[in-house]
Amino acid sequence: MKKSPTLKIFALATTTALALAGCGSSAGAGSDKEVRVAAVLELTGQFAGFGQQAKAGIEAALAEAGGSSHISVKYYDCGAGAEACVNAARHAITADGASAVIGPMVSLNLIPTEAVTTQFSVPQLMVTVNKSLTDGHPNVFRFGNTEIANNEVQAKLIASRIKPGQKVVIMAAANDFGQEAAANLTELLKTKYGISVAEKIDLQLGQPDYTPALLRARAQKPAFVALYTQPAADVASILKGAKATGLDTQFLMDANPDVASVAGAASNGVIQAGPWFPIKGDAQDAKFVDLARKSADIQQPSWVTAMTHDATAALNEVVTNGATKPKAITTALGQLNGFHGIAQSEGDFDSERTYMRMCQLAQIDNGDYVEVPEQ
Amino acid sequence: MSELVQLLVAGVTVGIIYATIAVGYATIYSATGVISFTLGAQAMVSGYLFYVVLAPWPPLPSAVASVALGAITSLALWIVVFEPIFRREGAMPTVIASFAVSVVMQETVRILASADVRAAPSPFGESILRIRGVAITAHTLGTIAMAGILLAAVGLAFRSRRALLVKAIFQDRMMAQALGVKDSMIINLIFLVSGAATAVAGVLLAPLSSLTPFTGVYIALVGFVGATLGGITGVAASALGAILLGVVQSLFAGYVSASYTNALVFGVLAVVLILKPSGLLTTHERARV
Repeated sequence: MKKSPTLKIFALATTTALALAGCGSSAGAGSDKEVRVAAVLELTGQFAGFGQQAKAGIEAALAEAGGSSHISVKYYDCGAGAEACVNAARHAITADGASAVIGPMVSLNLIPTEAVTTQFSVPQLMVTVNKSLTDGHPNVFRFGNTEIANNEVQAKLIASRIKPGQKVVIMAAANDFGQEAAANLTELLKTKYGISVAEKIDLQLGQPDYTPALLRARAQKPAFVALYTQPAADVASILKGAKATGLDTQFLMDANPDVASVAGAASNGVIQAGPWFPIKGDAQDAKFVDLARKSADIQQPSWVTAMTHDATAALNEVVTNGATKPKAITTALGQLNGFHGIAQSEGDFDSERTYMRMCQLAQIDNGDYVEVPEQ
Repeated sequence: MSELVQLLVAGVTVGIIYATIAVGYATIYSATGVISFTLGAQAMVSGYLFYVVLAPWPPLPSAVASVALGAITSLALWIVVFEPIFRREGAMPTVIASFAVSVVMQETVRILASADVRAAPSPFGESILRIRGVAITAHTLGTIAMAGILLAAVGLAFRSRRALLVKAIFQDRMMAQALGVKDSMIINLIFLVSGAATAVAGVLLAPLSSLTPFTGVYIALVGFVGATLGGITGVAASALGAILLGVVQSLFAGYVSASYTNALVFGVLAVVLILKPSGLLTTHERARV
């Protein structure tokens, strides 16, 4: 039977189309391996400092992975507040096909956002000390220690250094963070070491001057002042005010990377507790600091940067190992063992899906962090 | 006793900074009836100009330039943004617009300079004078001197005969225009003065509170409460009200509680508005707050 030219053309076109379709399918399989991750972060607004620190951590992890990265991160700015975070997370999952969400950074925004990720069963990785955020959310993974871990090392330090007759004063922000930390330290000092706190002074944040509170603290002549407030501007104002009013004491506080640069000489000697510090002279820390600074516009990476780096690297690891769908990623993250990160060398998740439970102390020394000797 | 004096020194220091902002509110309000909530953001911008942009310059020329730019910014905001709204829609939409402009200014600074907290070393130095257990920093002395001179100058200017023109514009703008008062020129001048006073506040505040794009938010609110406490229709009354508020705040934090100072400030505002809306230190005019 004689084949018609039309049939030849049709056969050729069909073959070509099938070949092209085959190539397309192959390319599709390749792009499927690149899992879309939504970084829903407060990149603008009053919490932009946290968001930018987190972005630096994500970018540092991606830069570190280089060509071996199997995730692509898209940023969604939710600096406008909780509603913006919820909308961004929903849009990222439903419209942009995100298989995992990193962020946001602030509890006020995290709480409503995790309702969205839980609804769609999409894994969410968050960097926070608020341990209740994983309760009832099997898709939520938390990178960060707990506030009480900081308080434990602070209490231990005080107990090891305090002399008979010396006093401890707590200055705490009149918010959840400050009050919880103050209660934890008071309880730990009392029950574990038999030390009573001489006075707890509550602080209203945002004041231009803290002289009244500092005078009350000075009246106790305390050997230690545990300072539980986060904004660096307030901490700097308090430390400078302490110097001016003659409050000569050992300040202890939670990790805050901006204090040294903002308070200047007034921050010398302050001891901070947190999951990670860029310790002066530590080669690995120095390398990470360089990478984070190159990756985003931040002055000094913090524990938030290190933890977000670890969250991104952990996500990349489980994706590289074959988990590409939300459910598979959730399962794989839960089984992550011996993961090597910046904030902890060999970490995994505990039963509450929290990575990192330890805490370290570091002392500010002319703008750098140095190790505090073992007690 | 030394503790009381120390608290008074702290109260007067922050109070006099509140007063420079309060004067900004009072001058604008006295001519237009507008409460401009951009003053906090303007103070913040002046802080960034002095401590960041012009930081390499010596303090005096840097201060002069920052205050001059603050005054020009204030005038520009009036001419470009607020005046068209004010002429078309009146005072209230202008007040609302001032909120919006304030947020735009904060975000612009955040985008240009990042949200990082920045140190602001006092231009007066870090030395501390100790007299009988009372510590007085060089910044405190410099603040009281600089803001005191500014407040005295503005206060004297508003006691002159020409200041009656401002009052005339406030009371009946059309009548003032009919009598030949050049209201546009006077209002422009008012915005220059308020901008300069606000810039001084920004430069003096930053060493106490550090610098962030959101630095001016609190001082803008407290300055407003101080102005209302004294009487927002009077420049001297609003300045004295703000200083009084700073002192009361300091004594309250020292002897009662440091964690309820905001409740105190806004409680004061509520009580004044209920009992004497024209302010404690004015006797006749009713404020349109």
